[in-house]
Amino acid sequence: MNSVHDDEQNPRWLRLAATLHAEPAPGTMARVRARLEQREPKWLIWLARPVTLAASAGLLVASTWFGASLVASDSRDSVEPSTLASALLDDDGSFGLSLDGASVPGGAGADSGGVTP
Amino acid sequence: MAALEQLHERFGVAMATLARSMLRDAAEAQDVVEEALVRAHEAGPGFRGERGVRTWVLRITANLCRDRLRRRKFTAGSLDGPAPLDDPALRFDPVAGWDESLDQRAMAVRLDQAIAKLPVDQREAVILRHRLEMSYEDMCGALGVPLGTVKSRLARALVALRADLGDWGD
Repeated sequence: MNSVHDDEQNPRWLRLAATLHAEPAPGTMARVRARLEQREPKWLIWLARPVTLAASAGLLVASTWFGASLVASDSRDSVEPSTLASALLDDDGSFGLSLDGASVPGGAGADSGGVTP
Repeated sequence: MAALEQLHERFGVAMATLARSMLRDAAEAQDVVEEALVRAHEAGPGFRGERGVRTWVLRITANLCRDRLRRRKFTAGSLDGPAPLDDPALRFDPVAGWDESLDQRAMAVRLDQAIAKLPVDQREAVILRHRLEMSYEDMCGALGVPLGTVKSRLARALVALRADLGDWGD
């Protein structure tokens, strides 16, 4: 079974298939050596796989966490609209500006025609 | 690196013959041989020697050839190169005791052209069995298929070759 020419069913001309052989080109080993030198070390390629995988998984977790915290802080702000409004209005409708005329430089008195020393 | 040189020395011709017969392109076949040696060097530590070194390197070579042929399908490259004996890198070893009235060389070229027309899996089987004279068991190792598949591919290839070279008789 192992000898190619034992098989009686094969035509005789099939033996001619074994007459052709190719030789590797001269300098094959030099080029193989050059290819090996150009390649990254195998351990680096091996290491790159789990590192890349871990990095992308970490990035996914971090971006999910960041996105979730953004959404959470957004919704926390929106449930306390009065806090923002009161901060802007300073609870007295002054939009944070003091309505006390005395405290305003050149305040209400400036319009009364009076002369201030 | 010494082991790699030995690999090239002992099996370089078989690797080149397989690559050249499969691809029918000298430059591409040479590229495959070099890449196969690089891969053998890299995979060397994992070699378990189940089927022998020759089967192992020919398996690497065959896999690379199949990859190239698959790629060619997309680039529409030709499967038929020039007549093989035009190339000085090809060696012709005549069969001893052949009928001298028949032009053995011309018949070998004609047969080679008929083999080149076979589908890839059948071509591969014919080359391993009849050009590289591998045993069926080693072919299973080199092709990664069961014995029945190897035999059926060879049988189908033979039918096709007989149809192509019909007037040669057996």
